[in-house]
Amino acid sequence: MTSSAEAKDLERLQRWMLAVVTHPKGASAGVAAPGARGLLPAAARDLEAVVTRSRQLSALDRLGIYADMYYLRLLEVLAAEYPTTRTVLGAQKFEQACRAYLERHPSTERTLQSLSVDFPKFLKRRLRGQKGARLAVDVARIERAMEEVFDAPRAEPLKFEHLKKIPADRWGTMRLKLTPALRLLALDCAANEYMAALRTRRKARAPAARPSFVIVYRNHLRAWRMTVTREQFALLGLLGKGWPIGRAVYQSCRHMRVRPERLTTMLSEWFRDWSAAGLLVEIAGPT
Amino acid sequence: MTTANRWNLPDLGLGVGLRTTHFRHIVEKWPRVDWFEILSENFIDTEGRPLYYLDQIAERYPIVMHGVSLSIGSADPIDFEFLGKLKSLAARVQAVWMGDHICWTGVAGLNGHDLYPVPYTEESLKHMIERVRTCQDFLERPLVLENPSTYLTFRASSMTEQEFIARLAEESDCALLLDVNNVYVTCRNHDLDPFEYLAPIPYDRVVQIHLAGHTDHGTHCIDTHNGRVTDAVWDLYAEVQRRRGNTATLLEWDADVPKFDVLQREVGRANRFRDQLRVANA
Repeated sequence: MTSSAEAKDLERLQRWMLAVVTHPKGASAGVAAPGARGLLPAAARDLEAVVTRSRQLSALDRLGIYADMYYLRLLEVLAAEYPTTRTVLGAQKFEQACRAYLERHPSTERTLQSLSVDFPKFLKRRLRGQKGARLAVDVARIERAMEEVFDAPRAEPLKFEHLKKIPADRWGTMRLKLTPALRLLALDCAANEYMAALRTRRKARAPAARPSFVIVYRNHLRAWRMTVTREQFALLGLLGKGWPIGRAVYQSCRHMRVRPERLTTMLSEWFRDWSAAGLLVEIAGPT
Repeated sequence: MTTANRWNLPDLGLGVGLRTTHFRHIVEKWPRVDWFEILSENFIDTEGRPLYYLDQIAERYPIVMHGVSLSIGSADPIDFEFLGKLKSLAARVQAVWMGDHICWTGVAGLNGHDLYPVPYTEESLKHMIERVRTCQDFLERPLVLENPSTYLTFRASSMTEQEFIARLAEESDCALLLDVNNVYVTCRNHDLDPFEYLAPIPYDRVVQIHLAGHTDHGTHCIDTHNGRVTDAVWDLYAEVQRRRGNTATLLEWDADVPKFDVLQREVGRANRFRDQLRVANA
């Protein structure tokens, strides 16, 4: 059995090394920082008492290899997950934001899937009041949602034919279950249209401030995003909370100025489209 | 020359690392390759595209699981939830074997997502042996542990890396994945002779070999997995084959990943050495 004193020594050495190689200003600053000095005072006085040098590299150079790789690797992950956010902010500002994020939210997981889960919120706080902040945050929220639906659990989609077989008088009390691979985003600007424009042109005009509603979902193994109306957004939200269809429709569409027969047609089209997109996975009667 | 490993795990032939960029090519063409190695962490905590393709690929090819975040050398407690996920994935893909690296990746609940070296001391050896045994008991199979590329050594080390690995393998009864590119990189970084490094390795425990490319910066080498295997690494491969006999061999290529047929050709170069052995043994 490893003695607790020995385990403590190993833990101290590992905590010291991690503090040094993850220091935002690099290994040299990491060795001198109070955190690392508190763990291994000897290293601050004489680094080579802890880490040996090679013929070509000093102990600090060798720690620097790990320090460089830490940020390189994680910045690469964030850049891959937020390509359009990076475009909106510009490479330099994006990297600064990522470094600050990693300092505030170091990885605590064994996989990298949730590394950037708080990045959009972090960006919102960091960019508050700055030009372009609204668009950058909205784009980041969409890109984060794309990551989440990509990894979300699978669920067999409900076919529209199945829905059509349900008698009209039972619809109101039925409840629909939505796919776990769906995210609903209420945004401050038309960020989805901006992203679509960027796909076809190199530059796109930043959209003005106005509410915009976007759903992000996975269908046939790919992540998709789609702008929806306020009513569609509200209806999906209520269905997702388990409301009966009738109450959810009334609550979300009560301010629409359309004739009842037109609304019926519209609802039929919405459910058909959502079914085709794989958003609906289960329907059940009153519980 | 050792001709078998102690678990009678098979010589799977020549494989390549399964990467997302090749998913479609593989399920459309079903290319001729003996087996695939997956990066375990890419297939846990996800139920999307990666698993969809992996399920199909696992029906046609042997799969080996290789991880990067078991953190077997860490001072943190063993993460049994993570081990449980690995075990489930192994059952799902019928993994022929599974493993990770002789290193630590995080401590105090934080993860650096890198393969950090441990001090090669009696204390850390004892610590790691205990953890390997615990993991093996939980997983109900031997762990296949790989020698990492390292860029520093601790003054406290009282033995060489290769001695540490040999004792770890013998005393915890684990299997070894010998990465000959890592041997080269580590030896370059620590001014060692790679052929001497290979001497104390217990070859009856080596069940797999890794090949990869690296980047030589003059003052040091980085294990970048971004290109062809260098001649110096092929020389080490030939030496390991000579000592160990034909062993499941895998090519890793993770950056600037080329088309699949380039990977096939590159790993196929290993046949030269395997065929020489066959002739020599005939």
